[in-house]
Amino acid sequence: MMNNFLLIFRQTLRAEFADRERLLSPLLFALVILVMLAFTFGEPPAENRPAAFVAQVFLSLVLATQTALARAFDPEQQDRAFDLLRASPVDPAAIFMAKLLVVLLQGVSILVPATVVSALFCGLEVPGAALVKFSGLSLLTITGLGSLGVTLAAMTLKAHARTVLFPLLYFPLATPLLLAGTQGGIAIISPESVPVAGAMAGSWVVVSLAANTIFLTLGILLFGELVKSD
Amino acid sequence: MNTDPWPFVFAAYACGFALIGGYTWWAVREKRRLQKMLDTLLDTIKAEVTGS
Amino acid sequence: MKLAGIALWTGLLAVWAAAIAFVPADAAQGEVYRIIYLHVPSAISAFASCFLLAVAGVFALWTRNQNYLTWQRGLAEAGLLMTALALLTGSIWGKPTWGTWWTWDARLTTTFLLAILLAAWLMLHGALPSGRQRLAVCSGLSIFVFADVPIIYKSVTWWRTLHQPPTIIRSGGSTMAPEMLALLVSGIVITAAMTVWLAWVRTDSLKMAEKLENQTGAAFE
Repeated sequence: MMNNFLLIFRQTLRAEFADRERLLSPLLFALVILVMLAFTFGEPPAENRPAAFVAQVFLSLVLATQTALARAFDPEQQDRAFDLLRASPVDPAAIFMAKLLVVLLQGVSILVPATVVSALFCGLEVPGAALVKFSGLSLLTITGLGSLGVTLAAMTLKAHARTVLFPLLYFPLATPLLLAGTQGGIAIISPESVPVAGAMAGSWVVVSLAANTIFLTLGILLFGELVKSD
Repeated sequence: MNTDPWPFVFAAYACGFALIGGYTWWAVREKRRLQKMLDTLLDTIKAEVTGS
Repeated sequence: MKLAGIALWTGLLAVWAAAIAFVPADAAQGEVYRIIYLHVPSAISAFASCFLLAVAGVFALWTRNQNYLTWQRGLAEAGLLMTALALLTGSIWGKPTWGTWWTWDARLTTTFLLAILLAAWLMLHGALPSGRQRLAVCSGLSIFVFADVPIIYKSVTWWRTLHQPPTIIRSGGSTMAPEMLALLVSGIVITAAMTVWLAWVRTDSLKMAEKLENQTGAAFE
């Protein structure tokens, strides 16, 4: 199991790095979204800055991961490696975990610059302790988005019109993660604006954890069935 | 409450009637259409089998 | 099936007539509360069909029987109809009571997202070639939607809520008058049964369409 997992992980990572456009486009997309948000919403007044910062980070994250996730299985599709992979006796859970880990790396590579740029755009200085907590919550969000997205990518693999179908399923199902990320994020970044901010942030972490658990469990359980060929 | 509530009540029930009624009507009609086609097809097959 | 349909329609119209003409007005909300006998049953039916969708999904994955997938398709359609009705009536009720057609209330928002998800389910079903994989994918999605809806609801509730607290089930007895409660419960039972009946009619049609497709090779849906 572990060896298989590492093998697939390495192979997926190599496929990802082989195509620089695939790796960079979600990141650039996230930055474009940040600029567009600044254009459409204008400069937020001082008291709204923390909320605007959090909203920008998570919106760009969710939208940019969507473009990455919708194409999660493209390299394998192109060289028919996926069919070989499915036919091999490899545990599908290993394929799922390897894909998830790649998505996590991609998510972090989007999150870090998005956080920095968004803080710069909002003119916000986030204290270190809050930033650490915020990063933890963001990571949790990325994990949940990843499990959900990899499962949905496998579901829409054979569907025509999947460029439309994927976001149509991904965004509504991701609602708990997005709400937990943004509301928990606001409680962390500007505790003075939220009553009982500490407890609030804790509750949102629990929501995010619950969504994570459900998506990961169902993803691992169903993935084998989803990719099995006819 | 300042507004007259009855138009809202009637509008809601009209919506209910239109939606559920419309869907029932369509679903039943669709079922009859398919049933008829299936019967015709089965008759043709039967005729072919007995004819040959 | 035909008899069941006629009986259900008679029952439904009787409940609606009683709701509009016979039950007394609510002490707090006045006449407009009469929408409850349509709104609450349709919302409950919508969520019940989401539950049945997941049950059929589990059976489909377990037995590999395509019939369970056809049932899911019927349930998704009937469920979408009920979510649409719940949203419409909720909106119509919201205007005179809250003064607005829409609020980001937890139940309304969750119903809205459920409507999108059911529509997406139907689109995905239509976008996949029939076979084993479609059965697995659509059944998997049914389970996913059913598992996600409670957390969507919980998270939206915490995000903000304006809706009145649940009035039917509450510790320390119900707050509704007995005749009102009886009518509401009958409304819920009949509307839920109507949803299942509609799903049944559709499932039957879809099975026939499938038979015709297998025989002739043309699409009949």
